[in-house]
Amino acid sequence: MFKRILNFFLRDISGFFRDNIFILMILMPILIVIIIRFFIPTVETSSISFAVDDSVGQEFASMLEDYGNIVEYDSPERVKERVGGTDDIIGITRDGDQYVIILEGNEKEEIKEIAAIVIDDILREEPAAEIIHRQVGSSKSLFREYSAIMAVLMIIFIQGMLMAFYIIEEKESKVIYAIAVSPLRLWEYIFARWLLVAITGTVVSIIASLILMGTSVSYMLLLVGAVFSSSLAMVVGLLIGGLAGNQISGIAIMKVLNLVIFLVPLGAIFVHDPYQYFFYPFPNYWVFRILKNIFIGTGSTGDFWLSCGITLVSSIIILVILLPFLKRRIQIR
Amino acid sequence: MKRFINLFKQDTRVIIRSGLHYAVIFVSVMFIILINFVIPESLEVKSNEFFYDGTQGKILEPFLLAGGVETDSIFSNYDDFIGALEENGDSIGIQLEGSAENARFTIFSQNTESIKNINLEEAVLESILENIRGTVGPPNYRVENLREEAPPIPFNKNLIPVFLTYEVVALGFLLIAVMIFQEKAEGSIHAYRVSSSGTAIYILSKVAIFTLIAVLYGVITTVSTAGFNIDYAVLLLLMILASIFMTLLGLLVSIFFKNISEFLFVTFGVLLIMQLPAISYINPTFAPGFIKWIPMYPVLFGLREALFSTGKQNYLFPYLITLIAGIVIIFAACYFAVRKRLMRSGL
Repeated sequence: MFKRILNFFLRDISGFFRDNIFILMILMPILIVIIIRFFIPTVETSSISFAVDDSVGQEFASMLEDYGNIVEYDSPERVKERVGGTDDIIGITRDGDQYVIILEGNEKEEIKEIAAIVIDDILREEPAAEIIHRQVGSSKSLFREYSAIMAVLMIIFIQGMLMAFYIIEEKESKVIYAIAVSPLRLWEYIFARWLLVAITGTVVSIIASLILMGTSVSYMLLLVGAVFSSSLAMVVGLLIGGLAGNQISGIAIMKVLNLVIFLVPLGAIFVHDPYQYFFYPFPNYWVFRILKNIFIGTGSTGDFWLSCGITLVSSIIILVILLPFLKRRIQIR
Repeated sequence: MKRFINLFKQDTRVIIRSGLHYAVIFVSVMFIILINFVIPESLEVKSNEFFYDGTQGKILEPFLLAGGVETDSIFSNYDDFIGALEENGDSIGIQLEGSAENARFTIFSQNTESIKNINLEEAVLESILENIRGTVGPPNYRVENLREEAPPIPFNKNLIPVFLTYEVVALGFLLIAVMIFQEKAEGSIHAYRVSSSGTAIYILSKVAIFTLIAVLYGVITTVSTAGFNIDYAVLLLLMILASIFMTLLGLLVSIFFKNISEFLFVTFGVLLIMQLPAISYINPTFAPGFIKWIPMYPVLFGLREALFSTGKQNYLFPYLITLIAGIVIIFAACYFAVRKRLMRSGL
């Protein structure tokens, strides 16, 4: 039994090497996280931008630079032209003794207030109050943590989708009939494929996490979390692979499922904690929660294990429901 | 023309046989339900600011309450304040001590912040204190709006351009690739090679079918979520051009891969880059130069202007030029790549 699983697993591995998929499987996610990593400092240090002209004077312009990025123009017309562009940028010019804040008209209320507050602050002769800064916690940048969560989530589910397209290819090339007449049973087929999803998903997730987060996360928890999460990715892969008759239908089903797979975690990032129960029925929410426990560490160890347990149990329940259907579609005993 | 129509009909049959239209209808209906009935018009974003008013006479609290700060974000007990900060890893805390004349603010930060943003926070706090003291002088500035102030776009409707850009317009990117791989696997590409139709017709037929699907998909979704009172001419123009661009890009990339499994990884990378302008869309003050060069940037903002006009003039022309130039370049690249790798080689 284990020999059959191992043989089938090794057959997949050799197929991956033959098709250069292993190279892409490792390289592409790494490339993606490198792009994210390159992008993170730009977002973290992003600030408001001001377009100014000569009329405000060099001293004012350099003081303005303490609050945001400055783009200098030679006339108020050029400043207006820039303010009229796609992004939100505050124009400041001077008309006699008065500063002129130039806005497009579609900016958020906070942008208008900020412009006035900054001018007041620059012109204030004495500081109005003593202000002290205290850094508390571990000085995290949540953009980095959430990027890591979404990247790892994507990596794990891509492995499931890759498996789906392997199943579709096996169906299209009739290889599935050869598997069907072999001694391999359906659950062994599923287990061998889960092994593949779990190993590749975990390895690539760890590499991605090392690039994005360095050594600031527990890799033991990530290893466990990725293995548990891969159970759901495997179920998604089986669902797509089982339902689709060809690659185009595979993509069509993937599109529908992706809507749920990626929108639920994205929604959970922005929704208030008391309303998180709205996401509880979605199994992928618990994958997100596993990763949140690993990368942000807001929950307890109990919460991590609870999320792992719910992910595994919900994957098994879906698999049991799918089993009769999969037997018909994949045609393995 | 007849050859084009025949191939177009054939490609349409392949698409219908695959059941893609069911997926498109399902996603469209889901989005329409989400926009019209589930996602609210205004989103109550997580409050991540906590205040501790440690002043004699609690001078900060009434000012904050008048400004709309929720009562559960204002603490009168220091330990509770610190506890709330520790529980919410993404929050910042503001503490005010002393009196109005001799005030001392403490900002408790948990996240990495740039010095510019710290200066902005300080400016805001000093402005708050001046308001509490009642020492705000006459403004030494005036505000000039280039156009009439536009009404804020409801949160749910603001998602329509994002859906149109990343779901509707990007549809062809993935699907044309799958179609190519399927044709390779089924061997129909070999049959096409020996037919008298040329490379251009092969490309145009596929581009036409996916552009048509995108337009139907986009129009149905837009009518059902944004209604009729929008600039459909501009919307259609942008959707058609952007869809052609994305479909050609999908074709160009897919030619260099053997199967969908290889292509899938590249797809996620390309789509990730294409999605970067969405950050600028959510936060328009964030627009580094390289983001503006990504073709989805003008599409996203152009569609927003077509849907929720702010009276912006002359915005469309540069967007169209960018897209048309992109299409011309990518079509030429596609033509040569398809001829070399699909029509001639043994792939």
